[in-house]
Amino acid sequence: MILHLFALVVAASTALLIFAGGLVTSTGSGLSVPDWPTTYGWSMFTFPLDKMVGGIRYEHTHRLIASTVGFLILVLAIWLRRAEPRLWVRRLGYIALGAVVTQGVLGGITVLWFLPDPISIAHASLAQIVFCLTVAIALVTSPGWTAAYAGRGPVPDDSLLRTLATATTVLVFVQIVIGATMRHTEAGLAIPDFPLAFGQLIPPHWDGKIAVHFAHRVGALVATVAILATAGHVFYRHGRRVELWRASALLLVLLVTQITLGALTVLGEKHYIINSLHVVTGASVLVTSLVLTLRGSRVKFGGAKVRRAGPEGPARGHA
Amino acid sequence: MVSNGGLENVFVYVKDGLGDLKFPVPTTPVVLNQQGCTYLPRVFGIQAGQPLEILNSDETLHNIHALPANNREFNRGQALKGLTHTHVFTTAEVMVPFKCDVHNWMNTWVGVLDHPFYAVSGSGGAFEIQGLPPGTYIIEAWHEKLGAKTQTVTVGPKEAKDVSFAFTM
Repeated sequence: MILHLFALVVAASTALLIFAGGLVTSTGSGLSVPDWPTTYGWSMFTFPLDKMVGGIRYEHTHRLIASTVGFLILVLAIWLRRAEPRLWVRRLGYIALGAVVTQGVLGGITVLWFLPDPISIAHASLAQIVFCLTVAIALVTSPGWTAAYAGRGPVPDDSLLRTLATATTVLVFVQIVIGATMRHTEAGLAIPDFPLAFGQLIPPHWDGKIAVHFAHRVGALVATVAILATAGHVFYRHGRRVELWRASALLLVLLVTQITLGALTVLGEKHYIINSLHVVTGASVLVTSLVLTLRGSRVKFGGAKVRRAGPEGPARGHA
Repeated sequence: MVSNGGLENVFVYVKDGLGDLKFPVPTTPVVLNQQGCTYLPRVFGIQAGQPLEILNSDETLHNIHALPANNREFNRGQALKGLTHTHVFTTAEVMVPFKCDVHNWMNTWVGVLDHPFYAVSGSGGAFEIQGLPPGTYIIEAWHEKLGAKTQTVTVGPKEAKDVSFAFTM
């Protein structure tokens, strides 16, 4: 249980880190500390607080949080190695550790190479994967997962749910990558109005930035349809499965919040707080969809009583 | 900035007409000062190969981030008052923007040329380019907000020509 709580803290810290990273990009502070891993020649941890001015506040704070998250994930990986009996969960810890180290190196490279778009976009995208990994670890170390949600009856074996939820998670991730591309190529206001584009449904003229921006809007529509389909399926088929409908309900709340923030980002001309909240809410949509996917696939991880697909009913078998 | 009806900080230079003429490169550095969280001067010129000395006169720290298109980009931190950094541009380029990512209002522009025939307009918008050999030249005036204007000017031996540019605000 303590391991699970610690994993939750790590996951929450990762969300905070993504918000801090969003602030760095939104305030244009990515190069306000020109050196890495040092900060103006100081060790990152001895840099004087009174020198954290202007853009340095965002960039250096991001680095400090990132270092903390990296350390926490290291502790988590060691803890899993010592205490976790399931090999695949221990491997998740190793993968998370490798991912966060890679993420740190990408962050350093993006500074030293003056924010090249591909590296910056990779940095933003890998952050989502690190978040997914920490959330997945928190989920699979939870008492509910370990007990296969047995208190609520046998878990469903619903291939349609798995397909829908997996597709939704993948689509949301792709949408986030497109969003990162839009942010790092300065295309966030390429279409200045919302919900129309230059007063029309389809932009009347095109260039690379407009195309990326419009792709992000189309992606939002596609992700919305996928989330509604998945949540609708859960409410219709698995209305009594608390672990499923709670995640679905949260997903819907986050979806509405995210679309609102997206609109406000355009209408508010990329206000840095709204912009950063849009980034972290997008990440929250992703991990919530991932949680729903994993819970919907619980039967595939063994140790669970199984109920075959169909409306709520008695269990038909065991795994 | 407008003073006495003239536009200050306009970079005026010979854009074309010098042919293959080569000019000595000064060894005296041009100084770019960071003072009061502003760049001084705001617009200036330099020859390719001439040292540019960047000085931090503030008690706070700055980074100097140059964003050239044809030269090498650089981003250097100056954490302490009195620190200097010397940079040499290798290729002519008009204009190279500088910014401080710590203080996002700090901007300056440098015109990097392979000749010494440039000036920056001062009070009243006045400027003077001296020592131009006889010939026909394209003169360009560049402003950070108002863009660039060009004129063709023919200069005879020991002749002085008045040139003026009009920008629409």
